[in-house]
Amino acid sequence: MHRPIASVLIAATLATPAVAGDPTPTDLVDYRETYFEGLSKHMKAIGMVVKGKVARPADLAGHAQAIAAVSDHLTGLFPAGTGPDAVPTTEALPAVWTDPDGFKAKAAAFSEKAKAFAAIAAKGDLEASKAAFFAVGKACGDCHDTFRKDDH
Amino acid sequence: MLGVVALGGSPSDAAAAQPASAVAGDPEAGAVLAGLAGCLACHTEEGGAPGAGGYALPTQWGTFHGPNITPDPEHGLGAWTFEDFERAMRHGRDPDGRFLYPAFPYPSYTGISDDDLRHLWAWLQFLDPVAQPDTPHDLNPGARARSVLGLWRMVGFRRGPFEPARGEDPVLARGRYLGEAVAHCGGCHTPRSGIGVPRRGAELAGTDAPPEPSPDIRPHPAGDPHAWSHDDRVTLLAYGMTPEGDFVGGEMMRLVEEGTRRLSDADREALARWWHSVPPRPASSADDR
Repeated sequence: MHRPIASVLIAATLATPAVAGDPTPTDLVDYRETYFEGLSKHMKAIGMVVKGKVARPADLAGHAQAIAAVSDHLTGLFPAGTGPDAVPTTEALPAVWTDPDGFKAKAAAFSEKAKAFAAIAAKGDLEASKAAFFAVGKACGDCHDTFRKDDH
Repeated sequence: MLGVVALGGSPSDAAAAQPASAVAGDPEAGAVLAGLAGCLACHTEEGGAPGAGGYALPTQWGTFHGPNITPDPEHGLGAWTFEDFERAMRHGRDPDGRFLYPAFPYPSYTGISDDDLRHLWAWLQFLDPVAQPDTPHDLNPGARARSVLGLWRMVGFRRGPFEPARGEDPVLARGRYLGEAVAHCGGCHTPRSGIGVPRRGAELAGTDAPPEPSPDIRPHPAGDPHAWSHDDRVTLLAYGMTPEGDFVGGEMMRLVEEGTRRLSDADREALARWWHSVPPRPASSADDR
């Protein structure tokens, strides 16, 4: 007879009141897309430097570091309930949730390449940085190929 | 002239029968060409030995399986001569003279220059020989008789090698050679008719055909806000990166990594120039790329 009451009490204790309201699935998708836009802007900036369009090779290390620093956030940005069923505008494919191991493997490959790039860029070797940058881009494309909608 | 001398000569004179201008095949140059031509993409199965075949290509003719092109004497090209290779690439025929299916893109490769064929042949010799038998093609009943290929060739094949058009800008001609004859971009990006002939006036307009959908990559009309610059195209070919800082994946990234990325700057520029020169997409296109 005590159990239902105890359950209610425990539930009440665990449910911490949200100060600014819990994030909605749309908020989470918005945050996720903002994260990826940030990555793509850094990648685009790096591209402009490695192509020699902008003569700022010393900037590479900072951009690479920024990408590496947030690279481990990626898998955490896809909680259950943020797929196309809940938020139709998301470009994430259901495979993110139906093949979590495959998704984590691709995300881990990205993070590994991003950290390797950051280490190489920190040494200031432009040629080696170009190759490491390409490896990061390849990891991006490789994951998008399986887990993101084609946008064409 | 050398050819005339060799006519009455012994087999040892065969080498002299080559035109004096024939270059020695350079496997390094051949590797770049092979990457651009996508040889291994269709002649290697997932996780398989490079060039050993087995890759499945579904088409409207049925499913083809890329054959073994390693130098294995029994299952690969080990018993082929350069002339056999040239006959396949330029004329679309096997060493017995039988027509090859155009799933093997000889209608494009026919344009490849003599020198580049020698480089490719030299590169092929460096693949590890693999004794892997070919997987038979699984073709639709109407496509099994090779005699139908004779008809197909009348509409789908014009023998090379590539020639620049009269008065064609040399850089554009070089780019067109790389894009049409070697990389055969249209192989994936140009829609085909019911019998598999590239549709006229739809060059690079994109298709949903296997192995994966290939987008419309025609230039946007001048003044379109989505129009790519020459530099955008060069960057795509060098890094696989789009103007948005996004990256291509799949077969295209493979092509970038093994082919366009390894081109000389001049060749990449030329390829981008040709790409820009194909007829643009219609102005009303709703496509946002």
